[in-house]
Amino acid sequence: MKPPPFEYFEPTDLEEALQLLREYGDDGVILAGGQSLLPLLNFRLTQPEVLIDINRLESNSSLEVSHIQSTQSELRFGPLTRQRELEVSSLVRKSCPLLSEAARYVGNPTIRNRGTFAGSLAHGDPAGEFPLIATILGAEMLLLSETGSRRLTPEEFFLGHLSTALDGYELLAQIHIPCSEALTGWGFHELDVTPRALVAAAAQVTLDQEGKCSEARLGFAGMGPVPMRARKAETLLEGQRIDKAIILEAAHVAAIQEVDPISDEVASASYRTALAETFLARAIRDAMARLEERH
Amino acid sequence: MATTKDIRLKVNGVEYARSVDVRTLLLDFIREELQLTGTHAGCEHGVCGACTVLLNGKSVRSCLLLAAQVDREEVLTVEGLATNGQLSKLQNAFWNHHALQCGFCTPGFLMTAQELINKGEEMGEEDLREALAGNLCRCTGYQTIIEAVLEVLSSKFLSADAESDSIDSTGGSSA
Repeated sequence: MKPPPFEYFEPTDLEEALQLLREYGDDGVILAGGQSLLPLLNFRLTQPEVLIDINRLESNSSLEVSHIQSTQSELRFGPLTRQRELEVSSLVRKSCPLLSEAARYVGNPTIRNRGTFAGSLAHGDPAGEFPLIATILGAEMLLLSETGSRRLTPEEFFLGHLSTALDGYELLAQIHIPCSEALTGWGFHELDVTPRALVAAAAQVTLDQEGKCSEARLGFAGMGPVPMRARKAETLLEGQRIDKAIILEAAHVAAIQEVDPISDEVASASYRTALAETFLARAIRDAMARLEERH
Repeated sequence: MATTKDIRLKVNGVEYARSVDVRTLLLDFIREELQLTGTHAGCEHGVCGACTVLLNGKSVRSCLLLAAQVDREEVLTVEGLATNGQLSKLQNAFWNHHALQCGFCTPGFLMTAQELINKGEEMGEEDLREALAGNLCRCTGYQTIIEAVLEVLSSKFLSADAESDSIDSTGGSSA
């Protein structure tokens, strides 16, 4: 239960980090929070030849590495934004309360002291809370390499179970999360099988001036190889006045048609599906309740 | 081309300079190199909490940190809680409430709880249970652990010398 041998680098500036990634990317991995990587090393499930520790990386004019930034319309996170900082941030709670709530379920407080938001996304666990929220809010991921950069949507970024579009020589350097508009409600429910979710459901609902749903964003963690966006259910809600009946219908459609859960020793696919349907219905209901509070 | 690293760090207020293999876990460095065996190796993948220490005042899993990562940092382990052989307020509360049986999980609980006490936030039982959910105990059923920590947390708001419950990285009471 000990890590295998590797070489270790601690770049302090971004250029150096990207150079190292270009040189060692094929055999190397990035160490940020380490809360997902170290278990893999301890179990020897991964045996990289090189570790590039970015914890000493300093911000420069082009990249803020850890402080949470905000503009009118979005929040921005760097490669070293700790999960704990995100969780307790009043800025995040105000601008994106769904993200704030989901953060409380990630691992446990001690894990969140070291774990990073970017690292959670780069790890790509389909049962992870952060990949789910990034997916349903339409986060933009900025990937940097020595030769350039690219911006990916969640659908382009999350490819499969623990598999993302990150190339070995790229750093997930920044994540942009669009912020809630005024007439938006949210909901989040999870069955927490610490340190991860068994199943989680998230909902964000926006109403128009007449009180009808103008936009719904619905999704699941733990119900497929990537975070699952429930687009059919979203279409069902959009343009409608949302009542109990339509909430149940949408949750049912999402849980039956738009998922691909596994059966394993923890839970059967049908149990996961039952959880997903219940949680999504509750999440939409909570989103509506939060909207009502604002009137 | 680094496979070893020279590190300097403070542990319980004492400065150490060592050369470590880069793959040495902080947990094993503390236990084997420094002979501070109060920090325990449980699951070795971060879920049980037995290896918890304070790094610059924040609780961390020493099984998920490399010793090489804590150069120039300050670490507090369970051995740093008592002052001159006198148990801390939290340790006494654990004693009085019978919050340990085999004691294997106890150092991890003490360090996680100490972080909460140092923060000094008011906390009800539900929030405390959630805050301690990363530490697993097979013996006690948690009730007595919760009572012990609650006693110290609530006394922080009642006692005049609440400052002395905080324990900083140098160990022992800061009073």
